[in-house]
Amino acid sequence: MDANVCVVHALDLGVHAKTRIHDFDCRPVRCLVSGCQRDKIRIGTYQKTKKHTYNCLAERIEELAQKCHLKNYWYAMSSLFKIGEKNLDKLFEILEIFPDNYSAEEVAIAAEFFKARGNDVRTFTDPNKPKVPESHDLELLVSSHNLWQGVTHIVSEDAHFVGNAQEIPSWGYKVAIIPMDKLNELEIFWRWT
Amino acid sequence: MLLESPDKARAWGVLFALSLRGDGVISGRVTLNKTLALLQRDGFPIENRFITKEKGPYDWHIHQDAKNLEEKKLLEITEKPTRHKSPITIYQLSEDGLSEVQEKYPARIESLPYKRIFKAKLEEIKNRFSEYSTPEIVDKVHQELLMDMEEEDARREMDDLVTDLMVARDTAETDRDSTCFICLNLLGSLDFAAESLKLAIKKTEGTNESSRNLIYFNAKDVLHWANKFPRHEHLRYCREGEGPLAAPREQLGYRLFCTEGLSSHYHILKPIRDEASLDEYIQIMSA
Repeated sequence: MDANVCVVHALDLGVHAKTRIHDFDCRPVRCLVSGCQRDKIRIGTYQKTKKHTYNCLAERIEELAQKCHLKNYWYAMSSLFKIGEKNLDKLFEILEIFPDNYSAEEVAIAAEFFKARGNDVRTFTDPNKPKVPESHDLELLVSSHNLWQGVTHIVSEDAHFVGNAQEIPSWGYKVAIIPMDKLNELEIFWRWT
Repeated sequence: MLLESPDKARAWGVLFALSLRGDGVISGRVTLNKTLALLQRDGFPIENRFITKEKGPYDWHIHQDAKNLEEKKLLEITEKPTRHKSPITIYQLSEDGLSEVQEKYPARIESLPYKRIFKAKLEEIKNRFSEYSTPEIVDKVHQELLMDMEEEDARREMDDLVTDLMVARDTAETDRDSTCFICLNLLGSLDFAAESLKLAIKKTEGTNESSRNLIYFNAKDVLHWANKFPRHEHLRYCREGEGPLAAPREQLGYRLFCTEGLSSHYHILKPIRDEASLDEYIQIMSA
């Protein structure tokens, strides 16, 4: 799971001022985690991703707090962050934390693939999105490739991964991308619920 | 548990207050009331609802709860004659009460959030009672809670604090870095303290409820700690109690926790908390 998917798992922040504050993708991500646990499928994230997750959490909570029009905005933000932080702590007790396993050279090669052969991932919300992912995403890709002999699945909503889901294996990476918004469909197929 | 609901959550406070004295004895209803009010002010889940009587925090349930505890043989109440008209009430922990406290309460304090600060506060309260005489303690509590002031002066003092908190919040907002977690802590604490005190003043107008005084004390301390880092180095995620400015951040978090507890208890403003953890906290303390 990448950092944003971990964050989404944490985004059921309870009912406040008669509003349930949650991300709609939270349920399928939670189903995925509990389904994998039940079926003894290894599920986890990387050491570096874990650290990055807490920084991503604040951004997502800010979006939610704005959407919900909560009173005392700053208080709401900081309190919801504390709840989210606790949820993330609980998640990381469940997830396996895989070792970061990449070299600078491998990351540079991955960047080159995206630059030379990657799809244009500019979006409506971010028309200036660069073609090459941020370094922590490249490190995640390389670490996943190096994790074991078989194929590693990355659950992500990042446009670079989702937009190049078909291409990434063809570049020689033993990695399959599961877009977060497809988890609902997979849930029915794999009967996670 | 030897005590039955619904009084047990409230009654634990009486036993706990007595346990803070080396000899397990508190002389006088006033001192017992003050001890419980101080514990509530400093964030312990004391379930009493204090009103201001004779310029001090008071709850008539306290003596009644002590009597119930006496029936359960957890404490003894005696009346000691004085030179004045009325005798003084002496509350003393019994052996059963003492073993109840010794068996359960240390573990409960260990399980509290901000336990380091809670322990320090307990020491502070203990020392206060061993170093000062009862009239001195009474005076100090009344001063800290603005209970010795004329209503108009107390009101002005509280209104001024609301303004100061709002100014500090606006300044922090201007200086904010969107990725800085210290800024977020600071803004959240100032925001809640200002709103909570403002509402407490409004809701207690024309009543003698002590909530606004208790919240005032905490809000003032929020501002005190907030002033410790007005122009700080912006910091990405760092757990509370770790990294730079760890101590003031922790103190600020603790005071916010106390303000939230009081606001919730007196139905001033509902805090945003993980409900499970709030219930857990109350259960731990009163089980």
